[in-house]
Amino acid sequence: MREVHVGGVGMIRFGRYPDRSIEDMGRDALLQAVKDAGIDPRQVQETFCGSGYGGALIGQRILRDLGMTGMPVTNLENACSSGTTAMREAVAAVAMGRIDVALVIGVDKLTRFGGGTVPLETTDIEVGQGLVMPALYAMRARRYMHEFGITPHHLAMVSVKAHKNGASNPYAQYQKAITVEEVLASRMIADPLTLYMCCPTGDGAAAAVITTAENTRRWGAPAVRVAASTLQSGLFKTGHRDMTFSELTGRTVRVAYEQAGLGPNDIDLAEVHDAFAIAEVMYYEGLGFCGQGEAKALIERGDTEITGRFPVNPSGGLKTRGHPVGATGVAQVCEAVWQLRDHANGRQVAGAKVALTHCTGGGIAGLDHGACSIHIFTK
Amino acid sequence: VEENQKVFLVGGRCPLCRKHVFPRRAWCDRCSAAVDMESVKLSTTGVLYSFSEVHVAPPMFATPYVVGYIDLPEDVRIFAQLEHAAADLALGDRVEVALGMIRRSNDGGRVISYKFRKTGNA
Repeated sequence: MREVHVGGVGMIRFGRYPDRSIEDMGRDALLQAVKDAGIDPRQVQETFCGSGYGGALIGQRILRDLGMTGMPVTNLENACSSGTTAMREAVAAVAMGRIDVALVIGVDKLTRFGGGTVPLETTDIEVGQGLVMPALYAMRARRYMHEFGITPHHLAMVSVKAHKNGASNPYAQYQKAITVEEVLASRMIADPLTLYMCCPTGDGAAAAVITTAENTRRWGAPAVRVAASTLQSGLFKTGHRDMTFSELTGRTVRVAYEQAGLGPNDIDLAEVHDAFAIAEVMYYEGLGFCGQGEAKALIERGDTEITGRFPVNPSGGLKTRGHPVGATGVAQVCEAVWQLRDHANGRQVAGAKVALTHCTGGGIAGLDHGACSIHIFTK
Repeated sequence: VEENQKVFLVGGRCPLCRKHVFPRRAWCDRCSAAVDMESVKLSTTGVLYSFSEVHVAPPMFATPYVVGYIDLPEDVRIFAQLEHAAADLALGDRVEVALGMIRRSNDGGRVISYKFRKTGNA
């Protein structure tokens, strides 16, 4: 297998754009990524487009008006992991030598649903009984609080960190610091989770050019190597399940660490799927930054701050960057690349050499999550 | 099903491995096979694993409502609404199956389904 590099990245600021088309957002992001790589859009040999709700032929709809037509286009849906599922296919296509230049696009427009919680598959038995994503995480949170003694105050601290970091991220939907008191006083969504413990819905697009080491040298692009590119799906369990630990994240990251030949202590920063504050807490443990039940101490010590031992979500994460489902994973890749290039002004993790991105989600009865995709990048 | 005014959930039992599931289906995930599952009445009481009071939901649900995961002795976990305010519940509470309205249908009718109610403290 050939060494694979990220040649360029780009994204639009996530937000609520009811008047912009999803195709327009996708084109904006892809042109930035191609420009960042320093290549002509016509050098792209294949496109992989991930979207949760973009609908049929989303990739072709984005590419058409740019005349980027005729090449193989693969559209992928994998709920919150759609973008990085597309990424993994692009990495594989370059690694196996089928092509030298792949384009990855992650895109979604959630404002088309109005507001509120993301729509779920209505044939799912739990959805029919009243399950919404915040309720699922709220139940995880209540059980976690019960078993490991954290309080809503700890969850609020996670949101405060996200907002502090997001305030320095020009691509974030929300760029405003908040206090623990504001988080706790915000309206209840699914108790114990308040509004500011939940990520917003919104619109956005992000893109990346995936290529060979030889090409990044030729283009003069800074070398960011893909050290691990993984995807796993949830295990079906009809009986008891420990909802305080993400088995899927734990299983996926083991594969990623093995591919990269690295461990949790080698990670300089992680972009983690914090759709809800409790989710980030659980992923500290799932990714191996601490043992099960030990996240409380990690939070209290500030270990996951930008200046801490395990910086998590220097971008502000889903909480403040926003979460247009299919775009999120590729936006995480953008942040990882900017961090490794030392270009993350105001939120830079000093001396970052290894970055991990983690995307997981998808509500389906009996599964921890539908899918989880983890990538590791090195410079 | 209702029998002598007592409500039961009917699940399935795999004839090969004896695993219980709810709802009954035509496949066993443990055997990875199509099987002719037996219909079995599941235990009417279980233990509340976790719960939440939901304040934001699609319009057919009247908020706030309380949902939870209930573990039955057959190692079956059920997601259902609970007929209580969150303040009256604790993890580990004993609960039993009941019938009640869970939401409205698209034409505004009442959708009746299984729910759980508390019978004992944790």
